[in-house]
Amino acid sequence: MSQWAKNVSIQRWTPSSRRAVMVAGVVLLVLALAPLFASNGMLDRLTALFIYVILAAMWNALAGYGGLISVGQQAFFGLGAYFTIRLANVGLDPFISVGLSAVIVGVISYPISLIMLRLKGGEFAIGMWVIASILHLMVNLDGLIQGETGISLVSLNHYDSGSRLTIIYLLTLGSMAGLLTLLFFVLRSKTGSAIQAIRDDEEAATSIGVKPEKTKRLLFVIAAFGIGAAGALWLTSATTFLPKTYFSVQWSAYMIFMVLVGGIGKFEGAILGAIIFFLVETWFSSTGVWYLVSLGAIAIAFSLFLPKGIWGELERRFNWRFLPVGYRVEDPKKEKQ
Amino acid sequence: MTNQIIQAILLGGYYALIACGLSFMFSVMKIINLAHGSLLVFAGYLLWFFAEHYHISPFVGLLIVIPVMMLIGWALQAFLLEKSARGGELLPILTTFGLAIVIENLLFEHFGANTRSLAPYIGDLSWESWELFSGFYVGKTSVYILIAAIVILGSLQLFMKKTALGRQIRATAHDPDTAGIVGINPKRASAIATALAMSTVAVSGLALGVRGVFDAYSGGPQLLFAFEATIIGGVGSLWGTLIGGIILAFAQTIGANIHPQGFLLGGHILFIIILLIRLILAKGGVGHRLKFALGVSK
Amino acid sequence: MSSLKIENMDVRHGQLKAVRNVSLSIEKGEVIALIGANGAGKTTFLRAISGAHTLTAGRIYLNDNDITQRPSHQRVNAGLALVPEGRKLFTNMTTEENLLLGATSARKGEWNVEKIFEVFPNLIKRRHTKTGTMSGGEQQATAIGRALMSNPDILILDEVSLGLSPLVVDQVYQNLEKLLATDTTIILVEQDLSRAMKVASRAVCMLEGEIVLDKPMADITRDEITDAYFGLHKIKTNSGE
Repeated sequence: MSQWAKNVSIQRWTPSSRRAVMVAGVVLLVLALAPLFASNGMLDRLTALFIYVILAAMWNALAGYGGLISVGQQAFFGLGAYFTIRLANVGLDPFISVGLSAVIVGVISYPISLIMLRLKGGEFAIGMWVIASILHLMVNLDGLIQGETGISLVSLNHYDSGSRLTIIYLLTLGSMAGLLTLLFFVLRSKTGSAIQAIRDDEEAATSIGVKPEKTKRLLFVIAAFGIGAAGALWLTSATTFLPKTYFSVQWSAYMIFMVLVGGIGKFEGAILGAIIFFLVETWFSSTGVWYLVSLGAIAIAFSLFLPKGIWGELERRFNWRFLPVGYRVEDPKKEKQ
Repeated sequence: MTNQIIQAILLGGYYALIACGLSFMFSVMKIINLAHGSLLVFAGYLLWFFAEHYHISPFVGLLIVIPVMMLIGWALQAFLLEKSARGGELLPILTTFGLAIVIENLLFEHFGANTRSLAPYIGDLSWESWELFSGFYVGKTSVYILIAAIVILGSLQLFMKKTALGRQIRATAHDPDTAGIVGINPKRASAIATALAMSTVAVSGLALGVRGVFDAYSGGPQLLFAFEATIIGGVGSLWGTLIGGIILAFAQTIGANIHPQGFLLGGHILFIIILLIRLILAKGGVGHRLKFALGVSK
Repeated sequence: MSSLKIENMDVRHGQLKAVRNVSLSIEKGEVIALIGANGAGKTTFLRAISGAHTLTAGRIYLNDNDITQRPSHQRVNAGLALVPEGRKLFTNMTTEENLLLGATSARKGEWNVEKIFEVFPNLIKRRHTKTGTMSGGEQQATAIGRALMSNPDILILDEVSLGLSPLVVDQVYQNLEKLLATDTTIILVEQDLSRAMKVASRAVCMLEGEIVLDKPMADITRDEITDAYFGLHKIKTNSGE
């Protein structure tokens, strides 16, 4: 027994994970400098990619770590855009409205979580869809929005088109980096260990004093906040708010696709999934309906045959671990074998 | 006022009918089928297809569509649900949601963006009505739909309670491993249950098309209505589903009276209120006290 | 012709090898007491026989038919019935419904609901009661009755007396006596050694997943069984060497 303990060490940071964080830093730096050399079209597409990364990471936090599958996260996406319009309408700078709007969405999600987290499994999934539907209908009641006609974020015109694009790009990049870092540290904290314990075995976790309700609520609010920010940012780059588009269940389909393909419950998996989705969209979205059919079919195939996603599979095969949100037990004897 | 109450009850019958299959699968197999709405729309399109191209009355068309849907149900269980249910309770949510996306978009691809209705193929019945008493009319189709809901819910209930197959399905739902040890083929029992649920979906597709119009993406709202009726009525109770459907229709009617756009909102908000009531009852209720007692005894 | 034959069975529980290389041959009409401490692998062994666990190696023959690959329900059809540990009743159904479920395989034989009520008269007044609300003794009787309803050639009883008061255990065994008189082959797990020695014709002891003792009851002493139960025979042989 003692011999076993002597040879085993518990690691968080492995050399490869240290390298990974450094690489991530360099990539972010290069991306931050992109406005100096990239075309407008390129910046616009990258902005979309960053928003996908946020969406995937947030949905993954909820499903992969909280064990909560939602098909109603478009609720917060739409709400984020809506409050940006509302705040900008009272004269606030559109970009400040984005940040404030995300905070409001996070606050609103708290009372919602009190009711919804009582639901389990499929009930929670569709229940969230009902929430999205309610918020959509309520937003439609606001005279400012003019129902499904929608409204544009006109105050963006205060900025000339070139600098507007750059600001949106950098703001989105910053938000993505910030939200990912936030998530990274939450998942690494004591709460994060609790979260992963719950995911692995809720009953056992409860019996050692972990409070699943509290940690799930935290994830729910963070996810709402992040997705709210994503919706607000999407609005700045698309400029027009059409309730039907923003509150569409398709956003949930996208999030599910990204996370399932990338790797559910894997921090890196969500990012990889977002990149794959971005590429698939770039190449195939012109095929219209067949593109959507394939997204659904691929999501089914992954959940049945490759439930850990591409990242999970890579990790298993090559024993990779880049961004350490968990702990790993290293047994030197095993490695030698 | 009276008229509105009667109309709400009839509409509730429709909700109960479309909720039958969802509620049945949920209570018996513990699976919420997120493709329920899309499958229902698919059944509607099949009926429309036979009526439009082969001049088969939708009522006769059911004779084809019910077996087709049952076969789909069997395949659904054998190829999708069976495997995903083994991967935990979350996986079926993802696979059935993926299936919904696939079905919806395939329907859109095949049938296009035009809305369809089955009303033109049922002749005068679509507008015929009975005069209940002076000045109050009820549409014949609405009444038939309510009757269909009651008949289907009643026969499902009887089937589950009184027949050997019903018992086997209940036993499998309770504990599939033990069901096997007792001599039940759990796969067969689940496949039959899903096929039954899908046969009710075929009838729901008829009701959807007869009452109004639908398009490829009508599945989402239908799923929400069916789900709300199920939850409001109380999961696991088939008769509760009928009550749930009627209560949902009442809430929508009240919502529409308050605000012209309040129809859907009324139903959704009632659903949330029901959840709130459940939450309050659970906190002070027997379940909570029991948990508390167990926690202390540990 | 042996009624049930097991050849080199291995069963894993994840990393743990719960049953190791077990071979056993049982003749028609034998009553076997399967003895062993908790965690010796008895339940896993029996569940593997009934098809609730898959084998990693080995074969199972029932009346000379290979049933290794067959799912549980087909084994019931072939004449095998298990009364599982913890009874595993369908608690939201009535006694009668549970019994009727036992008849799903529709094997021919003498057992029917009325006959079960004859053997377990304490169930008569519980006919339409949901089993979840019944006493432990009544539940155990229902579980045994449910297994009998399939008219099995081999009846496996896992921990019949677990969680029951001595009085109730007496009752259950009284009822079982009628059954023991028939030519049904029985494997039973019983912690009470004297009781096991009284009813069984042969003792099979398991220790750490292996069979360490297999003898007719007539040729066996209580000490032999206790030694096998605690693994003391190993120490004795080792020191003897």
